[in-house]
Amino acid sequence: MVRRILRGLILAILLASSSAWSTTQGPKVVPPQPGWSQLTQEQRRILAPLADSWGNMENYRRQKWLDIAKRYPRLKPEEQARMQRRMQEWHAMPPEDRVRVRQQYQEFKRLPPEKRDEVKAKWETYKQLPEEEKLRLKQKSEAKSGPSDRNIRANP
Amino acid sequence: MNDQQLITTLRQHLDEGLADLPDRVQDRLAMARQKALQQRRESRRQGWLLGHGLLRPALATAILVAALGLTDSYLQGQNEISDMAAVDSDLLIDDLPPKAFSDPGFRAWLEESSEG
Repeated sequence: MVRRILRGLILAILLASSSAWSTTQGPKVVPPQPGWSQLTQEQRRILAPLADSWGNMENYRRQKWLDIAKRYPRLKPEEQARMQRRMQEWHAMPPEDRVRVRQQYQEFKRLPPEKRDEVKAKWETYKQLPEEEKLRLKQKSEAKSGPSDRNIRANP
Repeated sequence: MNDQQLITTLRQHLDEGLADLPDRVQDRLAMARQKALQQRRESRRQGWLLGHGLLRPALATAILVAALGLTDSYLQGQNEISDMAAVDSDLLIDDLPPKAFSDPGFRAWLEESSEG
């Protein structure tokens, strides 16, 4: 009996690990999500910038966007407009970049308010810098961190 | 006389003799028949469950552990998606756009300006 149970455990571990190896990105077990035409009119209106990409989107990302669409009505009109403007760009970003941005954003949110304002002001100034200066800074950053910095574990 | 005729004749003799048997014998025969039928029913049921391997302990354990693993992965995935949605919706409405966090030049410039 004990041997049989052990055999069962080994079988279960093999089953579980084979499903873990089958995918390297995003949560493993996600129920199927609706196609674009199955969304409500309201969901389609909110997620309109993603209409073309929806068909090729993984289930976990569809579920994430549907979750975001649920929060959308509670936002102020200017926040809603800003979110829709950024949706496509955010969706098109490589997964490893999104992971890094999320991590840095969460660190940024932990800063005291005056530090956050300082970073925001600096971003505004940085945007005005000449392109060659931006390129110099970019090269400096890449030389310092090396290409390995971009190879953070692939995840959503 | 062929086999079928022999069986029919024997059965007729037995049936005729049945009425003459004492009640005690008839009761015992009825009980034996019931017992035989019951045993046949039980062996059929076991055959269906064990014979088809549905309740073999090893397989049952495997299914249970796999189901628990699946449930755990599912719940973990749901939490992960919900956390991701919360961060993304904040990020998408913040004064600072996502590209500020992905721009290596901006990072270098922040470092330079804080050093200076």
